[in-house]
Amino acid sequence: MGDEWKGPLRQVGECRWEIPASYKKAMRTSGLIYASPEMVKDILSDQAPEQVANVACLPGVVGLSLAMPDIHWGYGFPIGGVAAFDAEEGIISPGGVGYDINCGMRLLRSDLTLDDVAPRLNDLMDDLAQTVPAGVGSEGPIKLSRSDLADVLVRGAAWAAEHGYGWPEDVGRLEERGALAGADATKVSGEAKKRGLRQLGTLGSGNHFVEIQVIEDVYDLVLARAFGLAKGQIVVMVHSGSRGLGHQVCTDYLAVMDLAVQRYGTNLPDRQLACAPVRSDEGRDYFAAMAGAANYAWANRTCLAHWVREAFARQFGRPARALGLDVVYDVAHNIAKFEKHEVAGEPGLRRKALLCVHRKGATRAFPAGHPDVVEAYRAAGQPVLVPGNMGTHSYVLVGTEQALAETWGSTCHGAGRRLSRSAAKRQVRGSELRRQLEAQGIQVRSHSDAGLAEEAPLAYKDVDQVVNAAERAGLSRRVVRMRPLGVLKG
Amino acid sequence: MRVFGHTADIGLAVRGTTLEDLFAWAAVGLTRLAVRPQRRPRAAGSTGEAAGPQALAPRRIPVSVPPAPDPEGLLVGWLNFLIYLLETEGLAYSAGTLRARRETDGLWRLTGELAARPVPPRGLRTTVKAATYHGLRVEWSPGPTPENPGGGLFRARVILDV
Repeated sequence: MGDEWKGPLRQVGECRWEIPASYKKAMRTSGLIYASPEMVKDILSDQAPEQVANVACLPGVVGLSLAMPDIHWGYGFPIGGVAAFDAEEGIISPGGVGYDINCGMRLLRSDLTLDDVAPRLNDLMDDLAQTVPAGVGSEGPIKLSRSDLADVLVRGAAWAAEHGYGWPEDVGRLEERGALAGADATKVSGEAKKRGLRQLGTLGSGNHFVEIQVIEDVYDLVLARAFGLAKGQIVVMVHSGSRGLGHQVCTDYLAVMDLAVQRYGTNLPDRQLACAPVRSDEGRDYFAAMAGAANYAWANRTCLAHWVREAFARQFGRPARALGLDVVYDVAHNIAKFEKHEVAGEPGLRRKALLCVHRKGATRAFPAGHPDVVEAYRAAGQPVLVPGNMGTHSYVLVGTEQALAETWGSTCHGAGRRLSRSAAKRQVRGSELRRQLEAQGIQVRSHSDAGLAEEAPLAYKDVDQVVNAAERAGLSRRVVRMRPLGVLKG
Repeated sequence: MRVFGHTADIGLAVRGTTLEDLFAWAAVGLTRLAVRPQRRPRAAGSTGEAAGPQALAPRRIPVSVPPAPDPEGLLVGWLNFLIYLLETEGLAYSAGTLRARRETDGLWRLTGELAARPVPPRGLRTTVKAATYHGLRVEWSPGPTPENPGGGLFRARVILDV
């Protein structure tokens, strides 16, 4: 862990903590951390609040520098950080998106129940472990040509569905319909493309996973029904991103921005916040490349869901469609997007403005009726998919009007780490953790015991606390809670 | 060379008597983090999983790192080049002949050649996504230092996203 943060933090609401703009001379606005009182000690245990203050120093920031309840120390922006910048006068920063561009979650529903799955869980997990390429250095069976890759970068999930790795109706249930507009494959470097050629349809490693879950609690029957979810139902959660291609896009453009900072005379409190004006050549090029990587990630999760459907179909001897393995939703939690939001205008008036909203370890959470929510859920509100850790619950939430008004329509993205990977490994051995989880009835498949230990439940905050704090702050509401049955770790 | 923890990531602290020496030690640290230790090649006719001498023969690769405004940026570019080689070519740093210098345009450049050995199947232990600029430091202590009584010492800290 890092040193304890000693800066000023003032409670300004039940789950709201302000870092005043007076804390640092360079701050252009205040910071606001959403957390319950019982979470604050953990949040102050490292330098994540300092990162909230640093983001408040960036040019063109609109509103506050925000952090969701799962905030933890990242590099540059905190993880759990949300900040919006004026689309004309503001900046765009690769450090505000992160290396794993469009890391995100997908949820598949099913017509199966615990009684259907329990007797076959062992075989199902073995099949998933065989079918889903996972682990360090994993490559998949999809061999893209360079022109295929250029299509993936622009068309995202639709490319995968059209090439037999998904269903046509899947794209209608994805954030941005699985393709962020503005992608330009020519802005993605040859190195990034090379990293992406053999990795489509692979899970990766670290905290990425495929998890079979059962819905244990329903908090809102009407919304659960609108999302096609019910108590006792089996669902499958997929967590992955843009793999090496996205990492390379971030690396490439951080080097570009590192020089741009000098060219534009931008003062930064942390070099990882390297940025360029949104309207500069560097800013436009980064957005075009980042959108390409985001689209690669949506195609990747579409392919991963396809491998999951294949494994279920084999184990149950019925086509995936007959098992009802439909996409519920898919969210990005590392991304920058241009969105229209209400901002303060003339005294006492609000006006709509185009903003470049950075969400790094935060999930969009738009309310019912918002035009950017896919048609299937426009009347209900946007589903928000929040994983816990492999030993605890995960959630489906729904976006709110209050989130739209306060956080540019954003909420938490997961439990949030509290221990470093090395600290986690010092506290538990992978083999011991596997036994503990299996004693709880959770089957684990992992390519590495060390990798398993790094992702141990004790390394994460309590997801129930995170989700409750987000709800108490009005940023999202709980719809259902799931319990893990089987985890394939990347 | 030592490894230190960071909540989401992992850091490397390295030292070197010259900038090139520092970069070489950073490369060693990255390789130790990312690649499992390899067994020594066994004698012909023996069995086991160890890769044969042919598989472990190093390849020589020209260094390709973008120019940077300072040695810190050059270090990040160097480590990211090695990460790229690991992921796309399956090649891990084993030795290098490097030259770091500041040129007349004010930018720092790294040139030279490295010897990289192929990583056997399942030889990777951790995916390192990238070297970051966060908390990045390269510092020069004028000599003499305990580690180098004859001169000064470069010290660097870099956080890796894993």
